[in-house]
Amino acid sequence: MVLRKLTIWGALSGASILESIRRKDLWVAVILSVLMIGAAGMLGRFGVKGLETFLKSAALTVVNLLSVVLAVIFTARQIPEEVSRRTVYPLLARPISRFDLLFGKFLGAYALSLLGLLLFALIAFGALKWFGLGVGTIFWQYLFLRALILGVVCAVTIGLSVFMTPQAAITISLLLAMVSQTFSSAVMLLEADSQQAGKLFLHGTYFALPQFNLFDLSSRVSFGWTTIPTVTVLQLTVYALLHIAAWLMLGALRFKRQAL
Amino acid sequence: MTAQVGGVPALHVDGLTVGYKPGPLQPTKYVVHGLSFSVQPGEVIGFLGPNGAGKSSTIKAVMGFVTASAGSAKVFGHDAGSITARENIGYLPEVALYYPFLTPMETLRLYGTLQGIPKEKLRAESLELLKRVGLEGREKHQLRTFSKGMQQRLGIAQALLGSPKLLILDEVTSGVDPIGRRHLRELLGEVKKTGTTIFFSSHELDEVAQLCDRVLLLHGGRLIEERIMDEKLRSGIGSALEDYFVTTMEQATLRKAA
Repeated sequence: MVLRKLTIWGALSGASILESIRRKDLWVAVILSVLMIGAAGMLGRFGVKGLETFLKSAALTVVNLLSVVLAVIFTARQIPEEVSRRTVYPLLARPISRFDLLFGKFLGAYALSLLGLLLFALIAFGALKWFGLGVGTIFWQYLFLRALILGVVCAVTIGLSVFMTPQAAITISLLLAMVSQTFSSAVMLLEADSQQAGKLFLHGTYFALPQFNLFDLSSRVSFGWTTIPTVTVLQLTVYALLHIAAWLMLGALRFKRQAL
Repeated sequence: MTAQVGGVPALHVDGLTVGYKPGPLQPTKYVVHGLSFSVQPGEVIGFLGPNGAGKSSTIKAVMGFVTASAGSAKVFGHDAGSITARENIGYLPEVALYYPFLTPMETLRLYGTLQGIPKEKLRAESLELLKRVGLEGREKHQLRTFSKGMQQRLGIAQALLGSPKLLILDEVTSGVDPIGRRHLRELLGEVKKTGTTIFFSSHELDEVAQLCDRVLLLHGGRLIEERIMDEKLRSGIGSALEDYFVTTMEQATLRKAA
């Protein structure tokens, strides 16, 4: 049973990965990241103060930005594209559940996003080495947490993509990922002045929506800080897994009842 | 393939009603009304009707793509849409654009793996099927280079993967040229000889006349006629059936208007 499920998910994700690689989506982003990080490097060479921090910060911003944008775009089209091409029918005519299809597609998008993250990180790492800058052990913690949050990004996006158009899913997912910091600060500010019911609502919203900024260690890497405690990394791992499971279940519940 | 086949109909539809909600606050629009029919194992059934008659909606309900508002459908005794029911079905949707960046072999590998066909058997079967549908020599070409007719041939190959006991084909020769149509008709004739039950919708009455044992005529979501294909209906390769089809539909339209 487990082997059968793994085979199904593997086949679905494998086909998605193969198609995206042949579509060359990833390579456009890789070229873009080389250009952006290269441009930041050149700018640094022309006498920006605090060169090391600037370069690290610029390189990691490119990694953060491109990896999230790619993850959202890859994931948002997985299910809607199957529906619009009508290939969802021969897929679901096979003895598989709709959850299998959703989860297989999620895995494919997540694997592609991880591949993108690794390529961008490699480019950033190479560029920083080129400029003679070390990144320290915290860089690996940063990468691990980025990998985790990309899982949440993919789960949120695929969950939303069965409720709305791919364009709307992309917009909302990107907004959630990009304005996470602003949202958390706003919730904390509002909570201080709220009544009991308001506090409850704000708490609920805070925990229902994934707080992407909790996973961002790029400033710590840029400023050369020490690593964060392992227990915090574990807590964040559990937090990410819970959100992935919740968003996938939400998407699966909707997809199960959807008329195709 | 775990389903029990002996004695039970290949497909049994009982009082099937299918409706869609055009919008969140709009009332349900019913497109199939209390449809009932039965298909015996080994039969070849033509499911006919004008555009909007409810053929595709019925097929979607049988496949479990939409939930029936009322009634039921069973495939070899198993609830339509269940995983066990789908183990016995090969399905061709009405016009699908398969993965443009995959090759036919990769596409069949995907569907075959989901079907649970062992890897070694799958490769041999895929090559054989591509040969049978006339895509030999195109195994490694990406599908974006394929015409609509070639995509449809691939669709038939994927439907035949795993030798299903029930083949459900929605507009089987849609987009296929006359030579390809003849080729596919011969192929379906061969499949029929193996005892496979075939249930297909088509507007091509020639192929219906040549292949079917029985036809079901649908109009406005209701079954209006069910007829065994006799020599009289087969005569003139489709023209007698065409006359019968047009007359029956016109009468149904008049009855509905009255």
